[in-house]
Amino acid sequence: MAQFRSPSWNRLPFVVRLMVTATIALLVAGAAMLFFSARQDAEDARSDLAGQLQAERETLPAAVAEVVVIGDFSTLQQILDRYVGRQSMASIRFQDASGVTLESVDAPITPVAPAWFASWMDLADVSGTAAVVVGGHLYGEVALTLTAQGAVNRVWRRLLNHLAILALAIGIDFLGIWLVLRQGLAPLSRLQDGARALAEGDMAKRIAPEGSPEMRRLITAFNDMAEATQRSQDRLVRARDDAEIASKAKSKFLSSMSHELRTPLNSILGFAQVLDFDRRQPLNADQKVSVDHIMRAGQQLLELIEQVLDLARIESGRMTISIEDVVVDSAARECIQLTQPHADDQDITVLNEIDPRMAVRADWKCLRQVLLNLVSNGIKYNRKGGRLTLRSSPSGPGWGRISVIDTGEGIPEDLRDGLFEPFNRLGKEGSDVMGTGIGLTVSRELTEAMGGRIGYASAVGEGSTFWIELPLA
Amino acid sequence: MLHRIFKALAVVVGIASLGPWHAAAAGDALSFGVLSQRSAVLTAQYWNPVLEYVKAKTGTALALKVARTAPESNESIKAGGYDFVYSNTIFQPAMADAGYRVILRPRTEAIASHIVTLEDSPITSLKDLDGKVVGFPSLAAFVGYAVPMDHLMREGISVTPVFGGNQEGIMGQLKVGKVIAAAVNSQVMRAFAAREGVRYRILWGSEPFNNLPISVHPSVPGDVAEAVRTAIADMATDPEGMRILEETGKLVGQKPPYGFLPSSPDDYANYVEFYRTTLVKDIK
Repeated sequence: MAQFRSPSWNRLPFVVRLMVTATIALLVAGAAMLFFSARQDAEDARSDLAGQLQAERETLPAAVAEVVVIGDFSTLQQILDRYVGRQSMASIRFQDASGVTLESVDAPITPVAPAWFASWMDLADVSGTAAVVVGGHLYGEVALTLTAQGAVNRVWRRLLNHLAILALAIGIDFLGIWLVLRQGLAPLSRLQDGARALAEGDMAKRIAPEGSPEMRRLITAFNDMAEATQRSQDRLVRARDDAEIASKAKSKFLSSMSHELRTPLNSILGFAQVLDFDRRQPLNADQKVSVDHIMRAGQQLLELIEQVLDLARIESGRMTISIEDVVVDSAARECIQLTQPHADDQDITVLNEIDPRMAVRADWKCLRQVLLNLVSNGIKYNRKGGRLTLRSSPSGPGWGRISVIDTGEGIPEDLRDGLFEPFNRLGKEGSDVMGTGIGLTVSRELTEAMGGRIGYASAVGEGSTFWIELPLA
Repeated sequence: MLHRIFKALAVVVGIASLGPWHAAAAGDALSFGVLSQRSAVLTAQYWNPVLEYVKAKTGTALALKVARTAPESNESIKAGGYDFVYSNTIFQPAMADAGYRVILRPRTEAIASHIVTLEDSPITSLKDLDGKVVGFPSLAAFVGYAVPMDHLMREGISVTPVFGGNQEGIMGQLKVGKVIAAAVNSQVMRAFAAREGVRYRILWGSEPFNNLPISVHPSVPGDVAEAVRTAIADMATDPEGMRILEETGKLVGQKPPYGFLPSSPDDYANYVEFYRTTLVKDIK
């Protein structure tokens, strides 16, 4: 049964497996039948020969007695000649008491069976004698030999006939299976077409039930499945449409609200700066602290609004992406330059290990925005006096990786699932680190919009590495 | 199937001289010829035990010799081919030169020739046979052919004879209706009818003739002939001999008394007279 579990066997077409199985079954059954039939034939032939010999021994003396008593040797010779014409009679000899001998020998029967078969049958010629006694007087003795060759030939021919019948049965079996399965499995191809149509989106595709009861049940089940899938997909489409409408409404709302918020916020920041830098009426210390609070809170709010606006543009599909060859080093240097003051505030060393020759297929603004977010996060969540490294490396054929490596405290395992969720700051909401919580969300959206990938690796107490991968130019 | 016969050998030792074949087969045995009246096997079943008995009693081995037909028997008798012979054809003039001499006759009553038909036959008298086909055992059958044919000729009844080869043969033909009437040995017919369940009607019967005698050839020494005659004649008084006679007698349907009596040619004088005066010229 090992072959029936092997992959190569299971890969064979169903029809072939069925035919092979049926053929093996027929061959085994046929071989057993032939074996036992031939063995029985051999046994019967052996018994027949013995029976015939006994019968001849019983009847032959009476048959020749008349001419033996008369001493009519010519007639006796004719009788012996006729006897060797009988089935299986090889030779017959009569010898009287004085030594007169008459003999008749049949022509040897030409063997038609191969030697191994004759040997396997184990049939030997049989011989016997019979006394010709009439009225108590012994006239002589008849010796006769029956050949087994005829029986061997008959059994061999019968075996060949059985083999021919077996071959015919296998042929009919093949033809029958092929015809039945060809007709019976025809609906499968239509079922296959239907499944392909479903896969290609034709949810209205249905198959007319046909064929055997089993096939009809299968087709009915397929149609039921298609029906359920169509209903399910309809629900999903409606849900998606509803979600898209809601998302667009939300984006529109956020965009509108952000615009509406940014205008007064800019006024607030502007007037705060005026107050801070008014040389005619300088602020006292308390006022200075209060104005600094207003400006810091305003900057944070403005940053938040900018990020929200970016996210809204991406989700609404209004973000325009222009893919071109971008030298990563230039984008990295600009980001470092923009964030250097913050790094200096934290006493963080920023290292640029970007290959100056590395160029990727990206939107320059988007790439700069992503790198800016990652570098900004790397500075904000680094330890004081730590280090931030920008590094480039190949990433598979045709791809390049840009990594931002910090030496912060790392991201705990239990918080990583919410890393790219918008407004999720992983428990830093109450800290003195300012942030909006949507930087990584925007970075992921932008990276994927450029056809790239984003990921990270982090070790608690050692730091984190955020990377993006983009096609090389 | 003869085409299948590859080889047929006849290795014959002395086959060219079949005359003394019995003697060759039995060494110094004397031949004992029997007129072919029954099948050879039945004849052998009857006579071989008797001959074995004689050998046991006298030390003289007798080898049975049976010819295919009665004419062949007669040819051998005519040539003096048998040392002893059981036949009544020795009385034919043509056989006289052989010189056989009667030494024993059956204890049974004398035989007669009968012309018979089946009991339900439309033939009721000999005259009804005029112009008909009548069966006979063979030209060599004395009471089966010579005597009845002589009578039919003397009565002016013309019949067309057909021959059955021997007594059994013609009786068999009568039984199955192949012949409407047959001339037979009265005793043989009686035994056959008893054995085969045949009911028959006798149309004519001849004068009695002593049944077939056992005769001896002049070449056989007198003491040997006498010893054989005594042994056979004494069988009826010897329990072992009687047992053999009874058993063999039953085989051929004989009725008692069994065995033979010493005899002489005088007991068969009517045979000689018949052959001298008969109108039948084709007796074998």
